[in-house]
Parts: sequence; structure tokens; C-alpha cells
Amino acid sequence: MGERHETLAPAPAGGRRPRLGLWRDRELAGTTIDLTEGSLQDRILTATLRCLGRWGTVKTTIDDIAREAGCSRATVYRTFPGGKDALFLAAGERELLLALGELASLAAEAVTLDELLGTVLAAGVSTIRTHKVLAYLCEHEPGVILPYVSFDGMDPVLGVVRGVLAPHLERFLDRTAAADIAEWLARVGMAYGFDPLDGPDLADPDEAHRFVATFVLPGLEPCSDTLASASDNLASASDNLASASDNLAPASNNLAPASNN
Amino acid sequence: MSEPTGARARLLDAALACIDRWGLAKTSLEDIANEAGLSRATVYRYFPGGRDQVISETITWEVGHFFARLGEEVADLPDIAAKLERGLVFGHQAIVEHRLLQQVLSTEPEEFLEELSETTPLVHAVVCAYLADLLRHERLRTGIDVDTAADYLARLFFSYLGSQGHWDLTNPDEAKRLVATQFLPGIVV
Repeated sequence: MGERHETLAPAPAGGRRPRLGLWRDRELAGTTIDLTEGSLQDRILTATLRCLGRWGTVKTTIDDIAREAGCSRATVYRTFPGGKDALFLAAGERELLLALGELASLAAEAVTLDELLGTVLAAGVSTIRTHKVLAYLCEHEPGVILPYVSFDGMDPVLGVVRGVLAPHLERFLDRTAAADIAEWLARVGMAYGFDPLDGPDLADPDEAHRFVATFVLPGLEPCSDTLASASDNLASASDNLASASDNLAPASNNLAPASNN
Repeated sequence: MSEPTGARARLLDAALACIDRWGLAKTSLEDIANEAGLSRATVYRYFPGGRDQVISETITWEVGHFFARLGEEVADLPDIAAKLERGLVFGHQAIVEHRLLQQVLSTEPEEFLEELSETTPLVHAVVCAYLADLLRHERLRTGIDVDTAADYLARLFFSYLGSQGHWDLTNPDEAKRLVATQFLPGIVV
């Protein structure tokens, strides 16, 4: 089991797994996902990503993915009903959850608000810039990515980032400000990550810290009285991560109920 | 950008009508020529790049209209804070109510967003220049670089125009709180 997977799955008792359906994909909503390295789902999604990074969405076939994962076509279909498109969304959603898991652990380690904002922003922008498959798709098939980062299409991502990061920010800010700034991190991360244009390089931690100190810290009033409830909030942070996607999936689609408590 | 006139404007209008009727992908050069009542040869005279050039200029033209209306809406407001607040509320509403935009976003998001993203560098540059000019008339906090600040404001403004997220941008008080806490606190005294 790789370290990067463990950061994502601080599974509460009962071993709850995140449930797919962030982008309201009818076929996927409610499918639970096993993030353990080497699991069948992990192998298939890793294979999907490899194929995407090599051939893009149009040329990749289920056969390619099955071959890369070392299983049969039938197993791919059974594991992720809905075909190619559902598989691509599942692979994308898992990448997002893994990246958010890493951001959440950076947020948890941060000692001050400045440190949290600068570190998480730099890591988020850096992930967007250095993710090879994302870069390949942005370059060769931008139309595949743009609907998830433009207009209302970015709402699911804003929502899931808020859900995961706001509880960490509540160590330093009141609840409203924490949610506002969690969403700000998502927006600024995407704006500078996807469109470098001539802006500052926020993947560089020093620049990110300067940026945060210049533009957003002056508008925040850290509340010391929220520190008392910090541990409560943190307990709910990992829970939010686990349930982030099922919160967004329609309730009626709970095909695979979470395990008994 | 000067406003196109004559045959050029007729072709851009015709392209919009065709996109409305048939969608982006299915609109051909013939459709646009027929709609405008002009020959194919005339279309090529104005748009040597053919169908793709007409479509991309039509989108740029429509985006230009949007920002021109936004500019007029905030023209008389006294300072950058008031302009940003009103711009967020007006822009959000204009996007939600833009029927053709919402139509292509729901039926052909991939094709449309690829086209729209081609305009991003130009629109970003224009809006940055506009904001930088406004900032030069404000009292700025020590050490603020006008161009970096304008770049930040433009990106944040586009993000909120695209989606209000968990904010309610139909409410001017929320827009005011947003501008005060995220747009200007580090920039303007």
C-alpha cells in the first residue's frame, strides 16, 4: 500500500470508501471506489490513465485498458458499468480525490493560516501543472477538460474542495470565512494552474506565500476563539473527504450503502 | 476593436443565427452565406480562413459585446470597488440569462469551450488593462504592483462570472462582501 493512498483514506471505523458520482454521471453514481493500490479498481483506473496519457480519449479502447490492467473486457465492464466515458470520469475523479487527500494532509500539518494557504495553493497549482495525463489532454483534447473547469461545470470541484479544506481552515477562521477561503483556494488554484498566461508562478511555494500574504490575508480576521473547537472540526475533515463524492451524488442513487456503523 | 460594418457584420450576425438554429458543429459556410444572403466567394473575401474563421470571430465578437455592456453598466460608478460589485452582479445575471450561451453550454460544451478558450488571452489582456487603469486612480497599499494586482483581479472576476459557487451573486450585499474580503483588501487602502 503506497503512502499517497493512505493520505486519502483516513477511513473511519467501518472502512467506508468514497463513492463516485461527483460529476453526476448516472452510471457511476453510488459506485464505491477502492483506493487501495493493487485492488482491481485501482489497476483498471491506473491502466485507464496510462492509456489516456498515451492516446487520449478518442483512440483509447476498452480493449487497450483491459490489456494494460491485465484483465478481461468483461471484468472492466463489470467493475465500472457505463463503458468508456464512465471509466474516464471515474479515473478523473480518483485523481481529484488523491490530489485532495494530499492537500488535506498539508493543510492538517500547517501551523499557521499563512502557512496553510501558501502551501496548499502551491501544491494545488503544481499538481495541475505537472499531472502528465491532464497536461496531455489539455494540449491535445482541451474540450474534454474544459467542461469541468468552466462556468457551472466547475461547481462540483468547488464543492468538493470546500468540503475537504474548510474544516482545516476552521482552526483559524469562523465557519463562513473558512468556507469562503476554501472556495477561493479552489478558484485561484484553477485560474493560475490552467492558464499561466503571464501571471506569477504559484507552483513555487515562495511566490504562493507572497501572493497569499499580499492579496487575501489582509481580508481575513483570524479568530482565536475558534481554536478551542479545532479538534472537533478536524475530526470532521477526514469524514468530509470520505463522503465528499456521495454528498454530491443524488441520494436515490445509493446503490451501495456505506457499511453498518 | 472597431465594430464591423456592412457585409462583415451581416456575416457575423448570420453565423450567430445559424449557431442558434443548428448548433456550432453543424453550421457550415454555406449555411452562413445563405443566411446572410451572400455568396461563398464573398464570405471568403471577408474571412479567408473560411467557416472556422467566421465561427471564431463570431464568438470573439459576442464576447466583445458582453464586455462592452458590462463596461457601460459600471461606467458611472465612482470607484473600483463599486464597479467590481456591480460588475459581478450584472455579469452573473447576463451570463445566466444569455440564452444562446446556455444553449451551446448544454448541447455542445466541448466544441464551444474550445472555441471560447481561444479568446481567453485577448479578453484577459483587455480586462487587465481596464483594471490596471482603474487601479492607477486608487490609493494603493505599499508595495502593490499594478499589473500583478490587475491580473489577480481579472482572474478572480472571471472565475466568479463563470460560476458563483456558494455565493449568491444576485444579492448586491454578498457581492459587496466578496469584493471587500477577496478582491481588494490587499490592494486598495
